[in-house]
Amino acid sequence: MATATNEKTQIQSSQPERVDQARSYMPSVDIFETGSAFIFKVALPGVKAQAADVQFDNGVLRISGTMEPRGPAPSAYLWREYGVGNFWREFAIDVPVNAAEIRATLARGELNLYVPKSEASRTRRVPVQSA
Amino acid sequence: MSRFIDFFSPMARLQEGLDEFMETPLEDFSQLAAPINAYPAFNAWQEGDDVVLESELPGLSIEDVNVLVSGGDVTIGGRYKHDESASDTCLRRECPRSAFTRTFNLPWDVNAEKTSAKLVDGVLTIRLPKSQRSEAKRIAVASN
Repeated sequence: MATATNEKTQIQSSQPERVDQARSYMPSVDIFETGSAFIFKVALPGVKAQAADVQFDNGVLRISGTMEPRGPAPSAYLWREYGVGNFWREFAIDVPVNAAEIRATLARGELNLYVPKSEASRTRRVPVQSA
Repeated sequence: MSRFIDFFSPMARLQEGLDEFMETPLEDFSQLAAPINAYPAFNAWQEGDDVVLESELPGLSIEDVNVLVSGGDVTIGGRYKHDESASDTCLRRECPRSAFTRTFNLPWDVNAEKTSAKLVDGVLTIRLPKSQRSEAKRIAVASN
């Protein structure tokens, strides 16, 4: 079960386009699995709902978020422990999922993704009868 | 009786050494970078006379976060809630799931009444004006 979602190995072609030379950050993700679905909780602080993008393509779930610039010019920080920029991350899911029913909500900087498994890959309890 | 004294005296010396170490002021270390496990991470910058502290706290609501100002100490505390069901299998856990607290010691007093904090889209921003007492005052120099 633990191998159901693997982070896609980074291939050159799957990197975000470096059009604006902006740095992309990898958001922290919690993934839970229930009998019928995968639940992703993605930390996208500062990202508005219309700037978040979720794509599912050929078994690969791609999550990205565009950041409005905030804070001062990079040289004006007194103290800096984290960078601010766009988010990008993708996961390969090797269990058939029902792509049409994927739901995403973004609240308080946290993206909640509900990825239902396809009918065939759901966990089923088989009743055992005594012979 | 002396046997016992001989046995315990190295321990007593060690205890004394530890006491001495614990009483040594640690202020000198505050100039070092943040501890590796410090959470949450903060950025700080100056806007006018105010210092702005910013931190990313995705998933938290205002009632989960506390900001305390006392003199030059600013303490940020909060607690993440567990909302997943116990029957769910956890495949990956990277986001923090516990209570946290972090204190900053600013080198001047903060005006606690005028301090404001907001939490928008999981980004906490605290604006800390200097207190009147710590502002520089021009002193008229009298001649004779």
